[in-house]
This record gives sequence, C-alpha cells and structure tokens, in this order.
Amino acid sequence: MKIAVAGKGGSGKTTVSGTIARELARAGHSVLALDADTNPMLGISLGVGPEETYRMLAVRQGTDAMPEHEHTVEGMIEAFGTDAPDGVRLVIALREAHVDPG
Amino acid sequence: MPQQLFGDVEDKQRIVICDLEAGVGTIVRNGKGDVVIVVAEPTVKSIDVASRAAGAAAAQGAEVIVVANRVRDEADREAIGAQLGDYEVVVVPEDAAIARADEEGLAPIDVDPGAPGVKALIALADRLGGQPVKA
Repeated sequence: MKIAVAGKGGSGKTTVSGTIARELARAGHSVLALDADTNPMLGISLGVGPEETYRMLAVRQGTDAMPEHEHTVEGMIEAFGTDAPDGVRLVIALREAHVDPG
Repeated sequence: MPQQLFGDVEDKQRIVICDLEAGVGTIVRNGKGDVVIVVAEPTVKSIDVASRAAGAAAAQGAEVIVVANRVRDEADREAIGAQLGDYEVVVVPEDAAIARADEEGLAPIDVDPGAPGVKALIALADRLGGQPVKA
C-alpha cells in the first residue's frame, strides 16, 4: 500500500506522516517513509533527531558524485536511507532539498 | 529518479508513506498513492490548498482522507467540513504535546502517545494498517 500525505506548508503534514509511519511499524508492518518535501524534516517527526536528519540531508545533497548508487530504487533506499525508531526506513527523496527556517 | 521514487518504489509486503512537497502540483508529479491524506488547518489558505489537493487526488482514483488538524472547537471543525465534507474527515485536536515535540525536535509519539492529537493519528494509522497488505 502507498500512502501520500499532502497539504499546504505548515499544515502539520510532516507530523501526520511521521506519527502514522511510527504507529504502522509498531503494529508490525514493514514501513518505508519517503521525504519528498523541499524542507525535509520528516526525520524529526519520526524521532531520528535533528543531528541525524541534517546528516542525511547533507549526504543526499552530495550525491552528484555518486550516481552509481541511484541505478535502482532499492539501491537508493539502501545507500541514502536511515533507520528510524520501531524499524521505519527513512529516505530523503529530493536531492535539491533545502532547509527553510520555520 | 527522485520525483518518481514514490511512483516506482515497490510496495509489496510493506507500506510506503510519502511526505509530499507542500502544495497541489506535487500530487500529480509524484504518482498516485492508494490513499492520499490531505492535511488541512482551519485557515482559509490551508483549506483552499487542501481542497484542490483532495480534488486532484480523487481525480487520480485515490482514496482521500482529510485530516482536520489543530482543531480547537466546533467552529474549526465546521470551517474544514464546509469545504471538505465530501471526503472522510478525521479530526486531530490542537495538542500541546505535538507543539512541544516540534519545539524540542522529537517525535510526538515519543513525547506523549496518549495526548489527544497523537491518539487521533494513531487511530488513523491503525485503521490504515488494518487494510490487507499486498502479498
């Protein structure tokens, strides 16, 4: 099953995504969380913490040098993903993402 | 590939949840989900974006669920229901625990899974997770 979470910026989209992902994983599902927002803060709402969230973003933005990792979707999930609590796998989907204050 | 990641990724034996880019066009660009959760705050701008996003998702054949977020009272609920009442609406009340999680960079479910807003989202997740997983 694929679930997309949409809305205006600041509507609480990321909180909704992160909390649902964690609960689905707690209920025993294998969960892949994709962060496709240009202000990718899903890691925070999933509970990986600001430090790991910013580290992932830096890695994702540096991937021009490593195009071989993007040949397959699963390779990308492996190369750029991180493990969040309850076993959720998190991947930042946009290379051009940046952090907007607020 | 990044724009198509959500569309291309395999969802057999797992649930894929995608926090889309804010706005409406992203629904068309990112490929269709089986379920599209549209989050609306009780403000004119937020409800407007949510209405258009819900329309785009429904046109793609997705099941649309509206999360009425940060609802403080009946007037908030009615404001969202007036525009989005054609869809299933799940009310998530204004919640100090979620605000605190945002401030501290923590997951709301770790701060207080029993807080009213968090509980509403957990209930929605349990309902979604109860749907059969693709074999």
